Amino acid sequence: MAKYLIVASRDLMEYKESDFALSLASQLKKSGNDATLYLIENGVLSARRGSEPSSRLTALSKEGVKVFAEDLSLKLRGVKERAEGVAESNMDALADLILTGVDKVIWY
Amino acid sequence: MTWRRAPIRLEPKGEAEWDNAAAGPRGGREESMIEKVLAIFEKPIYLSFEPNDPHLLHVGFGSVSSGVKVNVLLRGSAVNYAVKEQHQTEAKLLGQPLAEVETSPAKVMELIAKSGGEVSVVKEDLATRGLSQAELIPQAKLISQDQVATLVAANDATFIW
Amino acid sequence: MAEKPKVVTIGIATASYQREAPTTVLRLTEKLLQKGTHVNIWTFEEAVTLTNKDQKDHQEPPGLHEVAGKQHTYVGKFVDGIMKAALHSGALKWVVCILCVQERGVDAHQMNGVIIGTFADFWKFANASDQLIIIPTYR
Repeated sequence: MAKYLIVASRDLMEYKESDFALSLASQLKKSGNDATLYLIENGVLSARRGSEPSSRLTALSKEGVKVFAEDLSLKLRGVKERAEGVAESNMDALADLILTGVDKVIWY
Repeated sequence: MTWRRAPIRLEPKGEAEWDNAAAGPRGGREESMIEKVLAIFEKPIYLSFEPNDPHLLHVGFGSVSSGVKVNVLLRGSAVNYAVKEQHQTEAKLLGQPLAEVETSPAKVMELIAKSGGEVSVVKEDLATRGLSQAELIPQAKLISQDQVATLVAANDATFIW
Repeated sequence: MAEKPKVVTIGIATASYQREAPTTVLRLTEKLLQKGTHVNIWTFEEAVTLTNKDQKDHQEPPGLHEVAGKQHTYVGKFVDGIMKAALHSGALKWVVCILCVQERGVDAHQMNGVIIGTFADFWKFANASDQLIIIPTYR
């Protein structure tokens, strides 16, 4: 089994079929892999507590998918409260994930 | 910015030189790290002053001319890429054809399949768009949405242009 | 024996000023280089303008000074900075697609340090990388 990193840089609310990135994370986890969903750029808008997709992120974290949101992206957009299950991260940690933390990276 | 060397040009001089050695054999490494890739297309592009979606051409090139096995997944509205009989040479502006070559994304899919790559299409996305398998090129293989993770796992790298 | 450095290839087709993607690529590249990674950046389509050497600072219209400042810098300065950071390690290769620079008329405008290459370069990088990242181009 492998470790996957899905980086979601798009606004999940703008693109109707953005659920693909979330569903893929879920499917990979359910198939026995390790899955991390990393929100960056407009992807962090969904991490805002109370936003429509935020409950989906919380559900994913309960399924065992690790969900992170990049700190600068959050600050730039004034996202003060993250949804439950979404941890704050930074670019340094993202680089570490890419280099040694995961086997495959999919940038969405 | 003048203290570095001027841009190195690796312009191919002939057809054979398209396989130039900018990165050296296997990029300077002895082993291949990535041998199979899955290229996912979601949003189609037409009539952009490229003969086809440039990302399709890029992937098509990889399929034909690199040592990497290139597989394609069409999802979202990009399932349209596998539709037969797409025509573009009728498009004109001021009497001039906007597309000089009669080609189509489906032809790139056929090229990729001919080079040994698999072309998969998400059937739920076809249905949403009122398309059926009969309207697609025969090389297109239908998979369901819940098989996508298996496809991703089967390739060394996955990307979405 | 020293561990071989990891190799990451990043492909991007998006230009700056209307998208955040190039900024993210630069930020990520900075971190990867700091960690001793070899980074190949392969730019395609509009992203070949990131390395246009004729970019310059511009003044903002006076009516916008309150919200935009008096002038702002350009992405090329930061591309230059990243290339400088990797100069002695040789850990960064920045390749622009020859077809893309030609059709955009920026062939003769590329910065020093850039390699004008082909699709083949991307695929060779891909084959030899530990990680391959393509930044999606939104339509």
